Amino acid sequence: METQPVEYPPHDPPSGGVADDDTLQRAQRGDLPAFRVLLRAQKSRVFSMALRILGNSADAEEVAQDVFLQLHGAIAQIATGEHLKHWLLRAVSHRCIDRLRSQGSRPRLVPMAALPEDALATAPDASGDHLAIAQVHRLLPELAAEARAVLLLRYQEDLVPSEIATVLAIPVNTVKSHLRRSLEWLRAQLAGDSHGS
Amino acid sequence: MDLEQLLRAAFALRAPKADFEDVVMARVATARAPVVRGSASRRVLVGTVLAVAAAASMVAVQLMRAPAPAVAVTSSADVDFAGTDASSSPPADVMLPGAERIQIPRSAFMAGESPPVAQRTATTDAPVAVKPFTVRMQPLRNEASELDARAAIDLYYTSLVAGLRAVPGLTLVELEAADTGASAPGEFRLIAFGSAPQPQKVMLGISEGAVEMPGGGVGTRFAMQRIVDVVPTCSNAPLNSAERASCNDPVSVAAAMVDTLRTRIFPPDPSLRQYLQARLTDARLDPNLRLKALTDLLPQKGMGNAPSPKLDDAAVCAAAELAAKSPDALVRARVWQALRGAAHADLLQPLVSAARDDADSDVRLQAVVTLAADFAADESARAALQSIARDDSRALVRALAQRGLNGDAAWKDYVVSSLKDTNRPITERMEAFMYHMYQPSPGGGVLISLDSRRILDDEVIKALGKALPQAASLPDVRRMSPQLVGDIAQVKTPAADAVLAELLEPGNGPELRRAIVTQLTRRSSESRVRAMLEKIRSGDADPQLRQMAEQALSGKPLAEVSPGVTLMPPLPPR
Repeated sequence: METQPVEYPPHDPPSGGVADDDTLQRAQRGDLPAFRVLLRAQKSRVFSMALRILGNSADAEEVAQDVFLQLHGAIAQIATGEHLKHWLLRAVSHRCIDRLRSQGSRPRLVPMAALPEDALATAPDASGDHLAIAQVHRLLPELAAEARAVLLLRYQEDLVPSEIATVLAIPVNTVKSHLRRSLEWLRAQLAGDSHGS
Repeated sequence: MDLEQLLRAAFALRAPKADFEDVVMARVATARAPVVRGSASRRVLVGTVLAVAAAASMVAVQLMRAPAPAVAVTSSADVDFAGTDASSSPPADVMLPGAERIQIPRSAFMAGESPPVAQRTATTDAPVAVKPFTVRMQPLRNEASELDARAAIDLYYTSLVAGLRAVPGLTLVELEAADTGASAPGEFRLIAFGSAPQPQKVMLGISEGAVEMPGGGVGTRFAMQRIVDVVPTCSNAPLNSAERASCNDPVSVAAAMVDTLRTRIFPPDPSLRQYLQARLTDARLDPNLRLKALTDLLPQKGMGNAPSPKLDDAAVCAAAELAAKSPDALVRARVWQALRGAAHADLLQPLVSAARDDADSDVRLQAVVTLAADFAADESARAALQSIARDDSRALVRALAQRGLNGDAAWKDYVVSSLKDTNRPITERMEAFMYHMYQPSPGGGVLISLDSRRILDDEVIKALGKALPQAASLPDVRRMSPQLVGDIAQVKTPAADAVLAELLEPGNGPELRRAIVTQLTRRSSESRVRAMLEKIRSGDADPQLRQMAEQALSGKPLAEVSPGVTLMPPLPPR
């Protein structure tokens, strides 16, 4: 099968942005309100990653809580706002992957009645692609945990493969391989779905 | 839409539930609290905290619970602050039964000063034995009617319980509502009450059961009582602003309360002491945090636990270094004040230097008082005090150096004579009196004792009455005016009431007049007071004052008519 080249254009970071250094420094001095500011800015990023890797919001909230608790204990090690973002993405990815592995979770087919909560919560968009978005959410749990994490880091967080490799501590070629295979598989599945198969 | 666009649309960020932040902050504050899985409906509120006094009703309730008849309790006046207005009441120290003083430190009310529990956990996990103890906690009575207030109070209480569960050695027993039984020796009892008349306030009281009382016998010791205000005064501030950063939310406030209980009320925790000492000696830490560590390390008089051990050499050295090098004069002053009583030989020379040479007169003042208190017999200290008493540029510093040399009698003469001396600037007339009555505490609160009130004889009150109209605008006087008029009102002599009547005249400031009416409400059954209130009700130009007088004369709680000047309501029966 012929594959299309994957490009990695720069994108604006998703909402949440990067913490300013002053807030970070105050949090490092034990300032709880400053830590709350960091939490507020980063919670959606961390929760969304967890939700899409784990597939349900209760587990995602628990993991996200654990990540921020871990962050509080390690806040002194964070050098910059950018470092904070990557630290959080690494922590949530690893925790989710570990959790799925410890549960013996494998890729599985998800019946329509048991769509991931993210798919159920997707609002219709103006372009009429909400059905396709729901299909993505339905298909996502069928990918291996690490592949899910790679896909999310690429398309939720707009990281390039080298950054994803750093976050997940895997070779960059593995990242590219995951991306290529996942996109091929998704494209095929969506094409099949669109034809009613 | 191509696949990559589709994926970006599908992976738009999703926010967790509304209570996520609160749950995380509660877990951060408690470190080892169990995970809460998103069902509880908590509200994000930002609050600020003030410390005020205990209600007389708390005394009554605790008296009923006291297991032994020989309960030593001071009169309600000793624990009863009035004018608990958030804008005017400073953090304060409250007299305890047995004429002991309890300090309500400002540190508990400052954002970010609470040491991170997650870091502390590492210390508390150290294999150092903590004496086991029990806290019996009665269920929260949340009578606030507003949704936000109820949520804030609930969150505060939940965080408090979670924090207490994480305290090493503490067994938390949550009681049934009807359980008002006596505490066993060494046990603590804690009640929390969310007030309906004063929304977004929580009254917290903790007592220690069956302790030996100073006058003999066994009784219940009131370890600490506070009113916590969870009004989100900073909620409109931008997220990243300094104003927002200085706000506290109920979770932070609860964490600070747990810290205070651990350091001041509960049995000493050696691992916590190690942690605090490490913070004090950490020169990279913010000076304010080091100061807080120092004040938490020092022995606390009048607390429920045994006195803490004295500072060791390393801690003394670190404190002296902090006092010498901190660029913040307030920190330097508070360090010297906090070190009062340490009487460590290594402090003598740094104290002499600070007392003589510090550029800030408040720092010199605190250094002088500590020097006089701890080294009065030392020749070099006395020589320094003599030169300061002669040469310092500030009259109060000179007077305090004289006090160190000549004792209290001369000091009190100075306080009275300076108050009467109309040739002095009003600031100078008032500052010795205010210092005598309301000394600042190292934690930023105010120390109030029965002894200081003894200076309020008729002569002093008359002099005060003449000075106050002019002095009412001075920041320190204005800040303490509710307490000051309350102290005058409690003298209850004709001369004192005449001064209050003069100060009630329309030419004086509205804040001062409202504070006086608030105080007189407590004596509204007395004919002399009723006459003053009748005069206000019948013809005063200030409608709020008229309403307050009307309310006071009818015997209704003042809080219902004057949200700015409030009294702590009595604790309703369970």
